[in-house]
Amino acid sequence: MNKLTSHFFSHSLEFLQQHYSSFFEQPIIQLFLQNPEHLKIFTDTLDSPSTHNIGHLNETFKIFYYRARVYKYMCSLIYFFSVDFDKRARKQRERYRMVLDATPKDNGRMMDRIGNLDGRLEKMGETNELSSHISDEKLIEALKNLTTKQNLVLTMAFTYGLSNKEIAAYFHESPQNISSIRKQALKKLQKYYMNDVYDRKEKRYCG
Amino acid sequence: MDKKLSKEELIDLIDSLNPKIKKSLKNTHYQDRNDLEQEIKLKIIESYEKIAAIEAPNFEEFLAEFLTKQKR
Repeated sequence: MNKLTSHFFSHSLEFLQQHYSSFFEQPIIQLFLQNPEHLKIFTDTLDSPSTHNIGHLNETFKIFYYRARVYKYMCSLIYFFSVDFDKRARKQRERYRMVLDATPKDNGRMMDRIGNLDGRLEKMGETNELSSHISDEKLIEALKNLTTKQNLVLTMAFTYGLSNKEIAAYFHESPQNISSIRKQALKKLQKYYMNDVYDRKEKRYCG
Repeated sequence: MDKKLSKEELIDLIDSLNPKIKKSLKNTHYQDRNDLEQEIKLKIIESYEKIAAIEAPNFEEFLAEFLTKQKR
């Protein structure tokens, strides 16, 4: 046993409280002795400072002290975490404001767009057919002259970006065949389109 | 006292800290309060290792430290 502490335990509670007043003023000791059970263990130890009693006191105090530290740790954790959380949330709100009635230049108020699907807008340009991606009317005319299969091959090649090999796998044909269909289709398109454009030009300049 | 805090005790600890958690929720916007409550509890559970590592002196050690400090 420690010399210092054995000397301490040899005195009575009153004597200790007078001479070691600053020890008893410490919050942890005050709180510890507030519990009548702890106080009894402490006075018992002072009455008979046996190894067993001191051990008991040590253990009880240790648990008490540990709990106090854990609670202290938790309380500061909860407090600082909540403050920090709020700071983050504020920043987030500041950056991404939810403005419901501002009017952006391009498309109506945000409020009007929430939960309101515009059927016409949805359908616009939604088909994946080649002709729906083309604005040149003459070219659309030219496309109409292609066979269904030619049209399909071109659609797959240009709107989906598939390779000849992939298209061939879809039709269960050879890639060479697809390649020739594609070439023919493009040639046909070119023919119709060019003729048309020349016609137009001729009309404009010569007609 | 080998293992200082069992998992069950940790849950009890969270329960006993509930008023403190509820109070700290007032630090934030009312819309975020449920989120915060959940995150705090998660944080406590995550900090289990840290809590378990907290050292506490026994009475004699505490007293000895006090007495040596007073002597100086």
